[in-house]
Amino acid sequence: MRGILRAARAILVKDMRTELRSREFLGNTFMFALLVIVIFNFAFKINAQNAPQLASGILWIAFLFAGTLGVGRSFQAEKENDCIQALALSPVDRSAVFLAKLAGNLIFLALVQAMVLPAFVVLYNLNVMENFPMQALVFLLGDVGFMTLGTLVAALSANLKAREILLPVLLLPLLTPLLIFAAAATSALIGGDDPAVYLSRIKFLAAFDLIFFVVSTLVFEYIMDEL
Amino acid sequence: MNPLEKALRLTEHPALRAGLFLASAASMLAALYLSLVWAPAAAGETEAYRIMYFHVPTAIMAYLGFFVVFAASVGYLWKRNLVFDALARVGAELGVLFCFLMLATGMIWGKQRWGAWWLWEPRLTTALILLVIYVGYLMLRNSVDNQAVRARYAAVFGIVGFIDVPIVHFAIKLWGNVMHPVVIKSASDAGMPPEMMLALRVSLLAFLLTFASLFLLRLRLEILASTASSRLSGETR
Repeated sequence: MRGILRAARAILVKDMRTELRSREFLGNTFMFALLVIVIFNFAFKINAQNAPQLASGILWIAFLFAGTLGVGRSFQAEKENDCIQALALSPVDRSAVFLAKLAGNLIFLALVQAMVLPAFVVLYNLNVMENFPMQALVFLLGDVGFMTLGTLVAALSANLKAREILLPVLLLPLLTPLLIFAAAATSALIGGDDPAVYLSRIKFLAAFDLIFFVVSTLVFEYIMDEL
Repeated sequence: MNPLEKALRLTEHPALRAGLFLASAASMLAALYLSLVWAPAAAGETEAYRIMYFHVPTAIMAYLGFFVVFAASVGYLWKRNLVFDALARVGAELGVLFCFLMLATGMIWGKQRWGAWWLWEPRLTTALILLVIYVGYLMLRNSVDNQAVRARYAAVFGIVGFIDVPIVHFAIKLWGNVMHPVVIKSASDAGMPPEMMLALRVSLLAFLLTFASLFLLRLRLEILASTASSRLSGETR
């Protein structure tokens, strides 16, 4: 177990370093998420009355779109330079690669969210983070579930001919339950609902994460062999 | 003899084929008569309720097809036998076909009963998401050329997709409200007159046999195609 974590950390550090050196993707993805939020405003004519109802959905759609773009890149860079072969040859458990990619994608998404949220609060004039610890927990659990399936499907689609379109087509339907649970929890928190309401939704999110984390770690090695 | 050839031999067994086709044709005719003519009118429902005798079996066949994908996917990752891959593909195709039929018959019934083609109601919405997941599964299969890679990728997606099914249903139930007529609540208390129950059972049998016949035909084609393509790639190598 410790060997897996050490290997995962090494891969993660490598990925962070390449990202820091190129330093383009984070900014681009943030701009994209910001644009989604701005465009929704034109589509729905957001005002003080409808903002609380629409906010959680708009936020999660922006995260899902931006995250799907970001996650597609996690195996692409490895493919382009045939680094994936070296990863596959390295004498570490396959799950180390999965954990590292998952962690990298999580950090990436969290950074995008940290940049998008203040902009959202200002533009929509709505304090989404009123109940900060709970809302942060919802984001964390939503991100983990999203990126677990996202990393798995990104690995699946890295080799495909039409990967740009297939990644979202394969990933988004699988994420419907997550979107429902996460948007429902966020909106319950924004609306100041009874704690029982958002706590039950947070529990569903946690269950979703747990189920797919276990399944994805188990099946990942079968994809990794063929990447 | 390799496993693919063995499976091919089975799909071409003359007695099995003829028996299945005759049985499905006969039972489908019987189901049509029983459900459209013989079964009594339902209290408080117009004659359009009779589409239920086809709507319910198509729904069960859709889930059966998707279950075949799951079981065959697990089988493939476990045994690395391409017969399982062929089974999974055929299961997905038939699942998509019957899922589409379930949605179509459901929408026709819904238009009559609710006055709208579509309601964002849990069972309908779940079926729609399922259809999208498994159409995605087939798209994934079509975009990988290498047979072994395709089989593995498809198996992984087939497993993850099937595990998602109950979660999708649960989530959508949380999100939507329940309006769907629950025809069969439990095996003991069907809440239906025995004649209706009989017609539904015969129809279910007819659909099962039709499913099996289509499965056999499609499996034979799939195995032939898969053998041909592996021979072709063997020659070019």
